Amino acid sequence: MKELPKIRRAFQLFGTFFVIGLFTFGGGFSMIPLIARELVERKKWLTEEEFREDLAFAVPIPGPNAVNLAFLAGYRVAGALGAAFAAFGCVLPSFLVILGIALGLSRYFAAPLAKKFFMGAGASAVGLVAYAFFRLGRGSFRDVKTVLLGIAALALLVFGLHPLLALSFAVLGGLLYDWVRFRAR
Amino acid sequence: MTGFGSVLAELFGAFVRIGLGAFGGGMPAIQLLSHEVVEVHHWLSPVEMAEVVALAEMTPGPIAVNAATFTGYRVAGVAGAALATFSVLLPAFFFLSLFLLLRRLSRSNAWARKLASALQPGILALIAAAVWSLGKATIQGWIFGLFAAASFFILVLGKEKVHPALLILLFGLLGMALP
Repeated sequence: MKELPKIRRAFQLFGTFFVIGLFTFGGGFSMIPLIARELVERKKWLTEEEFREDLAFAVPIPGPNAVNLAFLAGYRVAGALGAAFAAFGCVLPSFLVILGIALGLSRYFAAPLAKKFFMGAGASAVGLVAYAFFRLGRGSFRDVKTVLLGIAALALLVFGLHPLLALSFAVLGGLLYDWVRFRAR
Repeated sequence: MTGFGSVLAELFGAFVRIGLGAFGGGMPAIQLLSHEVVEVHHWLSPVEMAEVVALAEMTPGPIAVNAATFTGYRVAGVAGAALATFSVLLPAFFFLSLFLLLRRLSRSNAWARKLASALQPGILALIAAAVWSLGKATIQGWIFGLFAAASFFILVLGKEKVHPALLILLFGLLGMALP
């Protein structure tokens, strides 16, 4: 009897992530505001903490950030079925779009009007990613440690270090910071 | 039949390897893609590969997934597209399931919470870097800077009452209206 709502939720996840996948331009981070709004604010399927935790693991685990986050969030909402449906919903729009292009619709995508649409949409996506930074940073940049580590990691990224290495160094830096503070006491 | 089967097997192997190596995105992912797809298997010409990369930047979805769908279709039709797309994501599904299994089997989730908060500053740095690199690539001219700034401020002031997808759509349409 308890299984039925789970299946219904899995289908809802599919629909929600289909829309999210459709509008995830310019890398996986632009879907952060979409997922936060739909799953945390509106449907209340995830708490803010759960969402942040899923995002934190979606990035370092191999695979596209958007798909990873869909999988982890889907699992929280409706178990393994939810993970599968959310990931499938997230990938399907880009699959259909690329299939359409491969089938010979590419001239429509090369049309000047389509290019202009994607230019405008892409610029808006930059705003979405900036908002993702603001939204997450508002809750996180509360202590000196986080600010210092964040700046250090950004500097490493600017110098062209692989994202995963920069991430690892930030985690190690955090441990070192705690250890120094502990020794100083 | 065996010919088709072996082509599917090759697609599977190549895109599992790409899925394993292409995370983190950006140039390393593109280099790995063109190594497997252009140099090893000759599935696409270098010119076609460049077109796929350009298309992937315009259309929604991760670049490795987009390239998998396109290449799979070229090599073995819709079945090939589905298989290549699934294969490129298979390593992700494997590692995600492994992580979820570990979290399930451990008595307390405290380690996951602690690790997540330790990852937080690095994640924020990655997002900040994405704003910069994405902005450099897409904001050509002040009007697009205005689009990005307007999207940001509408979300901040609207407190997530406005659907972010609606903003993407709106500024896409406004882009079409530009001279």
